[in-house]
Amino acid sequence: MKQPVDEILQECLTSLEKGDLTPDQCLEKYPDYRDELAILIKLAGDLKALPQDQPRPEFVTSSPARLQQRIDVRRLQAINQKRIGIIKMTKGVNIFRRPAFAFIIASLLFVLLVGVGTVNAASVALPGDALYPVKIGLENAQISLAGRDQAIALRIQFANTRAQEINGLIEEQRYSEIPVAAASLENTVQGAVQGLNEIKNNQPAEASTLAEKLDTTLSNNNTALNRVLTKVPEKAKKAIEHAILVSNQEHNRVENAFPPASRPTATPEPTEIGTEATPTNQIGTPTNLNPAGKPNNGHNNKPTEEPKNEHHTVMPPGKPTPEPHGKPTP
Amino acid sequence: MASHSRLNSENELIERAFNGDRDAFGELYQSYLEQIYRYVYYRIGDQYEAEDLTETVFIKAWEAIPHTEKKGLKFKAWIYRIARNGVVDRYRTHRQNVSLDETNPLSDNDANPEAVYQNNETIRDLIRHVRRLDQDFQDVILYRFILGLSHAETAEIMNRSEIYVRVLQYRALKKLRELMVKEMPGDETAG
Repeated sequence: MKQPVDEILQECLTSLEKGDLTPDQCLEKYPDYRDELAILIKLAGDLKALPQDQPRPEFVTSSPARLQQRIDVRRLQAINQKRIGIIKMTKGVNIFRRPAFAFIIASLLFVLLVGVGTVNAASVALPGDALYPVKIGLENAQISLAGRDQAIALRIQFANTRAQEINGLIEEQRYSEIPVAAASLENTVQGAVQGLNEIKNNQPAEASTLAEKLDTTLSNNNTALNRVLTKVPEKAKKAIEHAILVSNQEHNRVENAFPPASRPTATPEPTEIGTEATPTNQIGTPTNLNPAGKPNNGHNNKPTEEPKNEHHTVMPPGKPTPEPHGKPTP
Repeated sequence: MASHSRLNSENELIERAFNGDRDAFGELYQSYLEQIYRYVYYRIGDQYEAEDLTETVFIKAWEAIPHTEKKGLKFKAWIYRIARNGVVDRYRTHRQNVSLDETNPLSDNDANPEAVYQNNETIRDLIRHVRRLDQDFQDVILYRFILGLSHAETAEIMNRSEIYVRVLQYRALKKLRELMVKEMPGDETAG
């Protein structure tokens, strides 16, 4: 019985790997398949000679710690998903799908379950605080009960909240919690972009508007995060840098899926944290900082004023900041 | 002897990881990080996305441990299978944004290979053509030739028989050759 060519090829490749035969010896052994074998053996050799790409050394160094942190964040989210199980049971009722109503119901349930004071305190909790899981639980409840587009809007809002939390941790010098907050920010941003992809075809108008919002939020967050990089220790810095990189990737993905030209023109309005940083399409990266740690944004020619009160400068809680009065930086 | 003791130590780590020891899992992560990264990177072609997905693969593995039968488990094949599923999911999610033809592992944001192979169009073409193959063809080529896995390991990861993998390997190489020739109609001997 004639030996199948795939078996002959395998035999030759194995012999070559072991050094038992040279390519020519192999071809001589199977003259009927000589031409075909010669081509395939050479191709296999070319493939084996392809560059063995290595991950970046900084990724290899920082990744194990970040992996543990990401596992922690996901565990926290899973716990909260269980906690809001009771709220999710209401999901089948249409009225609960209206986000405003759903939010009220979710809030009421939380209030009933854990008390008004606890919910109030939880709203300002930071990662590592005892009440932080309550805060995340309330957010997850809102997302669970919202419609698809509203859920994306909420994720965008929460991405903003995560960035504010990083700033809060820096102010309190709780640097060890920053990697968890940064990983949580990444998850939130990725969730928002995934949501956008999911509604892109069925709700193009809503998706486009949300893409614009997300774009602005990512720009503002990254500008603010770039600014705090110089204030934190190395470990926290790496976590923030990674969050910025992930935001950049997601930003690019949004830009590809929703080119700015195709988006609806909206009157710019101040976002919660976007008051200090002028939204641009160019997101700052850790590499485009000047020595003082400020973003060198080539698209933004406005002079940047040095913050007077850092608490409100990096992540101001809501009020728009007036135009800077300082002299333009040369 | 060295590989035997390495295997023993790996089995011990797997045992500990499956009993919930995160440090042991962390050591396994470090052992397999580069291999899984390389597989993911060749499949999706973006350095940062590959890094992110590599971490996600191990997070999913950690979360899957309580639901996975430890007896007879081959960790390497198991983790590669999770990576493979991760890549498929990634393509499914980002289908509109990432085109197999557009991605290039020797892209501009990848300084080292770019510097070394900037002018090597043959390598670029080869990788581009591999990316145009069906998923199974891509995988068998990656596992066997680029990642250097054995025939048995490839069969284990792909959850197929060794005979199936052998045939798949032959067909994948043939298809790859066809694609390359099709783009160079005047050069039938290329490759």
